[in-house]
Amino acid sequence: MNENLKNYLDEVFKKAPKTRKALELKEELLSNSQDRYEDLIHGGTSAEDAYDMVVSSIGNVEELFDSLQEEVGMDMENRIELRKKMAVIKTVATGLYILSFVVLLLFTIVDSMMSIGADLPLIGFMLMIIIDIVPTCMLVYSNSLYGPYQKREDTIVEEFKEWQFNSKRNKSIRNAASAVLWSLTLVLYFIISFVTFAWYATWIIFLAALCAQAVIILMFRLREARD
Amino acid sequence: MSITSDIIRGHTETIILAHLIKQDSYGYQINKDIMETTNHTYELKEATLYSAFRRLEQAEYIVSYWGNEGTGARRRYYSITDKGRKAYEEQKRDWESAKAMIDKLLQ
Repeated sequence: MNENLKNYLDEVFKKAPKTRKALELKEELLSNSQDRYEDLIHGGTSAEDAYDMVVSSIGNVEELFDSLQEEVGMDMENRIELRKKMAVIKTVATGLYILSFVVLLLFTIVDSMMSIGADLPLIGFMLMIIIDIVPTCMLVYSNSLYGPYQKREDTIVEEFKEWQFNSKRNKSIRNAASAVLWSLTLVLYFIISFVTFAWYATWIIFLAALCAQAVIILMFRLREARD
Repeated sequence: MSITSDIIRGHTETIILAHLIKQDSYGYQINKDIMETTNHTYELKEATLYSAFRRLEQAEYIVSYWGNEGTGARRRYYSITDKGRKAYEEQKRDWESAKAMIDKLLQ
């Protein structure tokens, strides 16, 4: 075991990308260099000459570094592209939510200024819910855009990122499901209450929603555990 | 000598495949065989050897596995695949026909 050779390769690989491929290349080079070094020593070469010969036989390893790194850049471009797309979707969805609220507000104001006979606030509320379907679908779609994380670079850091990404993705789907559940609950609460006027009892619907949410969370946990 | 080196370098991958057809091997062993066969007139630089390994792996002509040497750094062994054997036969045929042609042209 020649420490000088190990130090030499450590020095050369300082400039290499920190990938598993690079680590493996270094180990492969080291074992082959040591075999060569020992063969030279057994053949009667002096330690100094053997070291020089081995180092010169390694050649220009740096030209291999590019191929170990190349794939990272491509991945970044894809990620930036995806992020831009999702930002647009989220902005439009937020705009639509605000628009639906403005519709409700308009109907309420008109109702307070003049009486037409129809239940304007209720119609406004229904319209708001119908408009809200669109941005909710958009957000669910934008979450599905993520797809499974593509590991481009075979490193421990990437493995951690994959895990982190997947748990983040699960969380965002869970949040979307939660949002849909609670908006539906609110709609149901108002519709049933306005129709039956049984305000004293209709709040039970929120308890039912709480149970439903517990079930949803449990389902997600089970799926995570299975994966 | 430089023409000879150029021609040999152009066939680095076929030379590696030819070695692996006989048995699984690792970088230094292959290089040593090349040195001995050529009477120490030709040897591959490590960098050349490894870029050739990577290309062969990418083409699925060879696969690699790690040995478990007790002391020192582990060796990375390479093994030829069926696809690699076919590629070797093809490349060898190409070389035979090129050689025959050049022989005729230089007569």
